[in-house]
Amino acid sequence: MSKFLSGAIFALTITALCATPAAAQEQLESDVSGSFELKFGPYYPDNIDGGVTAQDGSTGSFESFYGAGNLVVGELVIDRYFFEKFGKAGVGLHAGYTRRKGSLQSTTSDTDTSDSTEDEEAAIPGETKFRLIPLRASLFYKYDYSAQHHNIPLVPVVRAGLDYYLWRIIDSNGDTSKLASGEEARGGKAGWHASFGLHLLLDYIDPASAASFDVIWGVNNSYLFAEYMITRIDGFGAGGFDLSDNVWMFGLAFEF
Amino acid sequence: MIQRPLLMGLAASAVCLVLLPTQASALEPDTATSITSTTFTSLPFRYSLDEEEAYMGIEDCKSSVESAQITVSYDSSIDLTQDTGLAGTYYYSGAYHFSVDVSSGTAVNCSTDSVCATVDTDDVSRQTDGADISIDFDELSGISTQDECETASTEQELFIRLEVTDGTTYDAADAKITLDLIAPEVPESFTAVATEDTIQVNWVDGSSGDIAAYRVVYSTTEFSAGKTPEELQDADSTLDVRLLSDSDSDSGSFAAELEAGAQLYIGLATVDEAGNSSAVIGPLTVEVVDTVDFWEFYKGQGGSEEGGYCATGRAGRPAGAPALVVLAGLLLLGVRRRVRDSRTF
Repeated sequence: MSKFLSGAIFALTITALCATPAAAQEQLESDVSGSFELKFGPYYPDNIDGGVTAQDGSTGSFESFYGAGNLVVGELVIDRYFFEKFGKAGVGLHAGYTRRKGSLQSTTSDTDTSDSTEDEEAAIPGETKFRLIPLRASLFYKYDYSAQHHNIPLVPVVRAGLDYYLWRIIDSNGDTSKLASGEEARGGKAGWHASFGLHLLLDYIDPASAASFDVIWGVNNSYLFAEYMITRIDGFGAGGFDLSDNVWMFGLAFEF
Repeated sequence: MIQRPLLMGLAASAVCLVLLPTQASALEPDTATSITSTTFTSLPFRYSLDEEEAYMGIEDCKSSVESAQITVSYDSSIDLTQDTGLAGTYYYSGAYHFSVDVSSGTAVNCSTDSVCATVDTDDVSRQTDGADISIDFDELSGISTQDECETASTEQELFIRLEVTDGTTYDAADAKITLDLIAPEVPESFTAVATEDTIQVNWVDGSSGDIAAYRVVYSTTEFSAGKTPEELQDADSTLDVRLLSDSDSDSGSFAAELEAGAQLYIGLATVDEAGNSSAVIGPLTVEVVDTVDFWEFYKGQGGSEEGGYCATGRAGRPAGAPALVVLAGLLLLGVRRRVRDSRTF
């Protein structure tokens, strides 16, 4: 709670510092119809294996193959506004990508099978890859009224929507992993997300460049932003892979 | 301001300084202004060929020594049918062959040096825009039997030279064969791992400086070390041999179809630039490892994910379908809004 209070105080301070009473600067701008975002962030599906542990039981099985380090997700977002009076509301379509290479494992615990005198354990050759394409559709509200009319460069954005993650596991031959029964390691997983982001309007840093950016490229406003997103990607309780994670994402947004 | 040619010169000098320690001993083939290209058009065996340079090893020597003829074609900007010409214009002077030790590095002038032998005129075909020189391998190398190829233990550079002159100066274009009859040292040691679809070998180099690749010999039946891969394969045609050409690495792998749990024998030999193989060391006895990826392991442990794109929720409730419907609805909402916007204008 104290963190929330200090954050709120910080935001208010910034607002107070930046706000000018006669703020509203009338500028000639092209029409705004939506925005484009490019963002990146760390991601790790902690519960993907649903309690299936590694051979030695020390970690989850996903971690034992792909390691414990975060994957990096890149995501593109196209937003369309359908409400533009007191802030903006609209619909966004998201598409992301991430992947992780991992090692194959022996079905037996002893993997050093050569009788060489070398005193090093031979690694199992070959690799397996985990690929993920997160797709989302979201409804959002962006409060930029103060940014446009009171020279306050901070724009809070809230989003919520439905997700569909496409996943695939690649075997050492580069094909989709397949069991002897024919069951293939690929599929889609539905879920939902909700996020809160804070966008910093960059136009205030260099208004002249921002104006020329609009004239040449049609980009009205540029933002640097941070966003915290909660995702629940478990097929709404369908079982199997749980691709949920709560992530911080950082990126750039361009309003056009 | 530093000019671009100067920068290029400095860069070239730096490259030369780096290369000098390894290339100082080799005699580079001459090139002549009036000879526009030099190409081997007939070479009995090409292990490694770089336009006017080629390498031959012990096996190449053995297969060439009986009857092989080597032909080099020269394209020229002058008429090579002429034996004389006006002052300042080049014309045909002669065709020569010679050999030098790989460590000599001394330039050869066939007008004055006795090391050169003249190619028989019947073996030189001269045209207005070039010439072809053909020469028997044994005449070029001085090696006349297969046994000599194995016992000579020398490394020579063999040159076939076309010479032109303007009456006062001589210009020469060379084709060069490095004849390497010295087998490389065996690897110091190696380890190997085999799975159902891959064999990986990790090695420690021997003392040879000219290792260009490694040959892996493997079989499910035991074989003896101490012979080259070629000799082993001659004795047992069921042996598999694979070339791993990245000599800068200390490991290599290749695809192989093997049965998990089977016992495999793996040997390793070095290969030099001329294609000579060392004797095979090993063989290591390796059990083919049964491997699993994450999917196979997860399912093997009873994981409930079933894959597919139409997942069902608890008690058979469709879970993916409603999500897709709502996604489509949101998309439609955005599109309709955009259409309305465009009608406004």
